[in-house]
Amino acid sequence: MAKPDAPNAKIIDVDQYPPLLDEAASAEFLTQLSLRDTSKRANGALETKRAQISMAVRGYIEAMEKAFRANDIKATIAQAHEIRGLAANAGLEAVGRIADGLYKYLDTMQRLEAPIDAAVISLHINAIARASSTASEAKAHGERVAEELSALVAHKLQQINQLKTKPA
Amino acid sequence: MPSSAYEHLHALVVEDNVHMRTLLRSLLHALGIKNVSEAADGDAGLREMRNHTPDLILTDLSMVPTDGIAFTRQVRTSQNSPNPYVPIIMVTGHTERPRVESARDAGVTEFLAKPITVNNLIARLAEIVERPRPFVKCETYFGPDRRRRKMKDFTGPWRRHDDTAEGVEVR
Repeated sequence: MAKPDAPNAKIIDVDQYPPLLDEAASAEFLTQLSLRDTSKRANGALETKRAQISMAVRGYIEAMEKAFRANDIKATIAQAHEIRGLAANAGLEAVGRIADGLYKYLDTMQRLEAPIDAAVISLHINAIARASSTASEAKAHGERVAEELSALVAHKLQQINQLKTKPA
Repeated sequence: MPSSAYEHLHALVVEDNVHMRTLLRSLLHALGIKNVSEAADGDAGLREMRNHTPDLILTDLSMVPTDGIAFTRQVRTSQNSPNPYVPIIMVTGHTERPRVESARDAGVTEFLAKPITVNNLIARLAEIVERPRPFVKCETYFGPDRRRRKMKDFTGPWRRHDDTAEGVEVR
C-alpha cells in the first residue's frame, strides 16, 4: 500500500459547521426552486435582460474593432473576454464561440510571448461582426464560421506549442 | 417580517462585468433570494463580506486585480474570513481544465458555466442546500471535500488515514 501523502487530513463533517439553512428552511427553499412558477419567473428575468445584454455585446464588439485598429492587443483581449462571457445570454451563441476562440488564441500567444498573427484576429473580428447580425441565415453562417475558426486557432496553437517544445 | 424561512438568505455576487452582475442579481431575486450584494472584484468582495456576511457567494473567475481563485483562497484560509465554510459557486466561461482545477483546489464548492441558464443555476443552488459537503483540512488544502464519485475499485494512492483497501470512502 502506498504511503498516505495527506495522512493528517482532518474531515469536518456537515454537522460541525453552521448550515446554510435549517432543515425546515432548506425544505421550503428546495420546494420553491422546484416550482414551475419559479423557473418561469427566472426565465422571464433572463428574457428581460436579453436586449440590454445584446446592446452591451454590440458595444464591446465596436470597442474591440476600435482596439484592433489601434493595434491595442491588450484592449482587444479584454473586449473578447467580455463578449465571450455575455454573448450567449444575448442569444448570440456563435458570437460567443468565436470570441472565445479569439480570446484563447490571444491569451495563449501572449503567455508564450509568441508573435500574434494579425490575420487571425482580423478573421475573427469580421466573423463576430457578421454573426452578430440577427438574421437567421447569419446565425447559421456564424455557427459554421465558429467551427472553422476554432479549427484555425487549434492549428495555430498546435504550431506554436510544437515550436516552443522543440529541443534547441 | 420575512414571509419565508429562507428569505433572510444573503448572496454576494463578485463579478467584474456590470451586465452579468445585474443578470445574476435579477435571477437570484426571481428564485427567492432577495438580499444580494455586489462586488466588482475579489478585493471588493472581501470588503463586502466584512460588511454583510453572505450565506452564499457567486464569483467570476477572471477579474482584475484579484481574481476568483485568489478570492476563494482568501475566503477559505484567511484568518479574517467572516465565514470560511460559505458555499462558493464559480461562474465561469473558462473551460480550460487547469484553471477549473486551480479553482477547485482553492476551495470552490460548485461551478456554473456561462451562458447562465435558469436550470443550471437552480441545480447548483439545490446542490448546496440539499447535499452540503464535508470540509477537508490538511497542510495544503482547506475547502469542501473534492471527492464526489464512488471509487470502489480505487487502488491508491491512499491520501487519508481512513482510506482503506476496500476503496475510498464515499462522502
